[in-house]
Amino acid sequence: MASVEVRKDIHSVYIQCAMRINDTIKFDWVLPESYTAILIKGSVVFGVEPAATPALGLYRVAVGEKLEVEATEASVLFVPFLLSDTSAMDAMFTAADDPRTASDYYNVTDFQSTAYRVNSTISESTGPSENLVLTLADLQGIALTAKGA
Amino acid sequence: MFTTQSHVIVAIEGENLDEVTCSPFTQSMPMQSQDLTVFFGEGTATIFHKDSNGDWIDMRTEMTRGIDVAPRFLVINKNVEFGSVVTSSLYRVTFVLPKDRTILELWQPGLFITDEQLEQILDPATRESFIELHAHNTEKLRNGDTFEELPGPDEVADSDITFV
Repeated sequence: MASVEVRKDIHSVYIQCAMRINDTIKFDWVLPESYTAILIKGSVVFGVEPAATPALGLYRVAVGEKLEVEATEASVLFVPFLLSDTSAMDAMFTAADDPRTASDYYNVTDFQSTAYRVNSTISESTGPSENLVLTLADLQGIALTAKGA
Repeated sequence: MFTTQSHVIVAIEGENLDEVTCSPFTQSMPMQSQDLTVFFGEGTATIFHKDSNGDWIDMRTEMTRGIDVAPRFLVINKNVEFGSVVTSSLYRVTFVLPKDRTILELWQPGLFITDEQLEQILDPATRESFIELHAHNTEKLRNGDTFEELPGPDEVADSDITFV
């Protein structure tokens, strides 16, 4: 199954998706502005594109479009948003789970060192392939969990 | 290096040209005055940072965990000079910078961003464009145990750059 995590740094929040072959993920929301998904591993079909996009790949999600991704091999992608992007942040998060009021990096400390503030494994998905529809409530739940970590 | 609506993405892709032991690609980024977020997408690497004495420290000597195996989400501390030696056939990392004048000006010299490009990046009119700013191909050799820079590929024996 696919895995979705929410990451944060001092300027941005990232929706990070790890997928097995044949996994699909659909973001079941639209935003009032376009944004970009960045594929850093593997190969996926974005939306209604006719062919798979290999890493490193970018896909522009249009205003009003719901991001849909199908993995043609094990893949990892992330979707960045600026914390200062009030329009996107207000559309995606509630006061409780708002990353803007969370501690830096969500206090993610797999381990730290002289060089790294955060060095965290991206959980690669396991189990059977699935069709995941990620709602805003799901996203907010993930962000709330990260915020409380 | 390219832009999205709100970010500048620096992508580094390394290819290990030797089938067994050589790692002719290395990358050493300039020291940064802001924490730096990295998505390490594919591959493996031996990662070093420079200590206060100017010596390169193999991170494996400080850690016992697999810091050098993708996929990972990393935030590199500010004021840390680091580098990596590729140990897989393919290596892909992306650095994420916000479209913020103050931050991009800090990175301007290290990323070879011209004043004209900086204005182009920050121009709201370019928000909807993927702009590829520039691309570089480099080929360097470094010792996988010490990060010492080595002569060119034709002059390096495999025994000098065998990896653990």
